[in-house]
Amino acid sequence: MVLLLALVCAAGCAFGSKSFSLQQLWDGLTGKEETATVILYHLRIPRVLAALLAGMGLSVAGLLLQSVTANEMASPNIIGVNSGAGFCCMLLLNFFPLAAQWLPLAAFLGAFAATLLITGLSVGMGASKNTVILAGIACTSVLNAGISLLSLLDTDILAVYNAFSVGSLSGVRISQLLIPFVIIMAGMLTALLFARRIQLLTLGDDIAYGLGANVLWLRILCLLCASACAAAVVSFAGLLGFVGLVVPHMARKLGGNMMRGQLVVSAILGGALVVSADLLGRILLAPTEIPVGIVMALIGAPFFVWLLLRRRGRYAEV
Amino acid sequence: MLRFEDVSVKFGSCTVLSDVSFTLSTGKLTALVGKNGSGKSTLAACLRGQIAFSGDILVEGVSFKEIPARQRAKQLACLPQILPFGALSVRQLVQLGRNPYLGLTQRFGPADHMAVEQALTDTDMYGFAERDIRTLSGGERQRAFLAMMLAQDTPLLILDEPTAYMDIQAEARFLELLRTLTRRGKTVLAILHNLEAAMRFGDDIVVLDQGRVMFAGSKEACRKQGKIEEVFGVQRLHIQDKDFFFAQR
Repeated sequence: MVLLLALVCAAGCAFGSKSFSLQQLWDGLTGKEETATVILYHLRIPRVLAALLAGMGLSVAGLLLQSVTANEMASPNIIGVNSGAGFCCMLLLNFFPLAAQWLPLAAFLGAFAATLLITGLSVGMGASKNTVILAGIACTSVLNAGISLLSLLDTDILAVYNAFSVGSLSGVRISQLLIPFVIIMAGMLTALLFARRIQLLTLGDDIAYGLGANVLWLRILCLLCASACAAAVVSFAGLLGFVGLVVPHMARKLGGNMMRGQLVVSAILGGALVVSADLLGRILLAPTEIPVGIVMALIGAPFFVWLLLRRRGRYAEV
Repeated sequence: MLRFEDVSVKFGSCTVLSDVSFTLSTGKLTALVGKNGSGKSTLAACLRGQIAFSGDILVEGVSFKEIPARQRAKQLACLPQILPFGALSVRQLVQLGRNPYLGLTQRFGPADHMAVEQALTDTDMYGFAERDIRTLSGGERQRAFLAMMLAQDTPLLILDEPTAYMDIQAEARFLELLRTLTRRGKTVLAILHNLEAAMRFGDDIVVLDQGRVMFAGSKEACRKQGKIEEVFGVQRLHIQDKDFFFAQR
């Protein structure tokens, strides 16, 4: 699986509107061919790293959310990542139109604030697996209404917002990735450390309590890790759908039954999937680029339906 | 060993448990019976530390509320009424029973492996160890979860309607297994709906009605006082050392 990831990353660096042979790729990496070096170090490698990071962060966030809510339909959207980021971006664009360069920061703060609000509300309601989803639905509705309202105030900013909401890795710089990298790694490592305890939540609250788990605290920890990972991704990739929903299903299939294995496989598969989707987006209609968010939706949704159809009727109650 | 002292639970204005007091006898199987809504499962939820209650539950003389959750899980293992369908093999499920003994970075040690193997053997689930728990029958699944409880290595076992989805043979086998465990020193509290099974396999009986303890004591005393008949509105027949209950018209 690591080999697959490495191959996909190499392909992500080699192919695009201008493709490189293996020799050119090597020359570019070692600085022997100037054009290739510039393209690789300034465009391709930051983009592949961004895709890798986005895939890892969203997949791990999705897996954690599906585990704590015991709901296989859960994804970062349900804890307000998209609506929070979108609302904050619209606020910025409406009231500080000259500060568009701060859009990634606004997106991160909005996404994280929304998830904290939803976490806080669900804790206030007892933090059961259902209250997380219900609080998410309520807050997301309010924030989406806010986005619609703000878009009425100034229709010109809709184009900027739409570009952000589609999800794209175009023009991403290494410097933009440093803070998200630290946040996503911290979230993933924390989840790995607590993987055995998080596994108990998948057996339901009754069993988890019986096995001495602090269910409320564990659920808050998972929500915080998931929201930090997803919000960090939103800050540089916009609103990427389907990764956090689809990849955990694949990870459960390929990563075994235990949470630790699923987390690792989820991160690898998520990274490979987004790098592949971004690569497809660059070469399918080259030189025109299809944003990675659109490619993800185009391949993610049918794939997800296929997964569900394959699983139908396998077990009496899953 | 385990004593309930005036345990009360209120959900809003509704009193679900009212001053519940009784003691579990060490090394015995106590059957807790009561009509639907009498508060049996609420009592089990109190023991899992899942809901707040007034009064106290004493474990070895120590207040339940003062024992940290993981420490508590080393003293009493609880099996809820509804069992989940997780994607786990029986062995993986049983291994989760060792959670109270494992720190965050601690690996599974020889003692943990031994506890898991012993639990699988005791519950006759060794042959099912690699099976997915979703493919087991109701009775096998209950035994798999019982094995998880046994891997917890606690002196106290609390089971909430463990035989609810079993046929009569599987129920008898399961309750016989619980009795075997009591002979090895375990103290068992089993919430049961089947009054005949409660009288046959239980050493002691606790009868709950509308959140109150109507009777707590030996099954012989229970027979003498006719508390089950009174609370459930049933008649009892005692034939060949077995009790049979049937509803009055």
